[in-house]
Amino acid sequence: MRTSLFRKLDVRAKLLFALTTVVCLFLIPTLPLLWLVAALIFLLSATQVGFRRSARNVWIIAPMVLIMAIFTPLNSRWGEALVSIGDFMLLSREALTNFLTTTARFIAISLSCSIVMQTTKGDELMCGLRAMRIPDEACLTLTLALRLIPDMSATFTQIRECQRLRLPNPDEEGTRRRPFHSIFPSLVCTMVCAMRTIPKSASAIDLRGYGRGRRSHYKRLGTGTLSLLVQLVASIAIPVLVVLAARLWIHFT
Amino acid sequence: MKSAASGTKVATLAVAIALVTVFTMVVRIPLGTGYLNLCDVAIAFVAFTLGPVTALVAGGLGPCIADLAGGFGQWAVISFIVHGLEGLLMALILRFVPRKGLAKLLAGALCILIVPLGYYVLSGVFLVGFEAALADVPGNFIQSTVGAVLGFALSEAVVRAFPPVRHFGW
Repeated sequence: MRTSLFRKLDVRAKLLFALTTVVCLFLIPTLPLLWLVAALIFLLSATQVGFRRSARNVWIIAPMVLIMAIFTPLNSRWGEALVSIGDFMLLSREALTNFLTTTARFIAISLSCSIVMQTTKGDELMCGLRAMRIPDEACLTLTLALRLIPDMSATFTQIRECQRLRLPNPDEEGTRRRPFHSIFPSLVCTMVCAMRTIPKSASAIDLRGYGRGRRSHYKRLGTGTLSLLVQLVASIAIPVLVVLAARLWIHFT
Repeated sequence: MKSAASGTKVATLAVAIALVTVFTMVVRIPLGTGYLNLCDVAIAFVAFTLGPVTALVAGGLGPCIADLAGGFGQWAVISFIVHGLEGLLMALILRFVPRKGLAKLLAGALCILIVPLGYYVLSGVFLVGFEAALADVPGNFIQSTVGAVLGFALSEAVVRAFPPVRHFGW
């Protein structure tokens, strides 16, 4: 999957593709075609990031789909009854159609976002944002934040472990769920550590010449074999053509 | 030429965004059969300590990044709007309401109100329908209540432990 087509595309084209796909999902007229499009997006995801990761991305949203299914009988209490108990309509055709439509869109939107995030490196994303004329300050802030997340996460884990080892019976404490109030000291320490990094980070970026004139950029976006214009046009054209084909199919059948 | 304060602003925003993201993704407290995440704790802390602009940006981007990274990309925009608004409004109340006690009470009430209501309305309209969105309201209510209470307690503790934090807000 490391050499998949999506990884080679320009990040701007990928973002535009995801956005256009999400918009076009709301323009597909019928349910079978919507599920077909969702299946095609799953196929695209499977070929680009692997079947396991794609299945995991769908599995993650399964609880939400389950909740939607449970609440389906409350939706659209009119129309043809599919399931009734005596005179009480449990499930209508309208409600089932709405549930299936919403689920298909939900899965397709999740997979579209996942494909982009899982085939794009952090520095490529920053270059893409800069290419879209987002100010250097914003790009720097976001880059720093993404850089700090794993460090802060590791700091929190270390602090929790240190707090646990200070308890009278650390092995026992580690094997059962600790009370809610025991997390408070860890949170305070993590926050203090985080706040202490602010002046250090500020002086580090000042020492690197931030704000003293035009800055250099060391990373460039690579567009691969296709030109950027072709990629951008394809990103918009493919979802739009799918919607047009769906509508023409409905019109002529 | 940018002043030295710009470097501090960039660093403050970056640290606040990272803090909210970590609290959303990594910090989990078991609650019965599920988990609370602490994004509202971090947002309340940022609103109380670092000011409205930082609260808006960190409150919006933190949960948004956590959703994108965690495979919940479809919630990213909703999280950005709801939590960004939550952070901004809490910080504005804390800054402009003169009485501290009343300000904290109002900000906490706003946090408890805005998160479940925001998620209910936006996910009901754009994602899962109002009936299914109702299922998330109790969880969001608990999370935002814990967030407001714990966030204010944490900010008092952190300001006492590290007083210079008061000067990082903007």
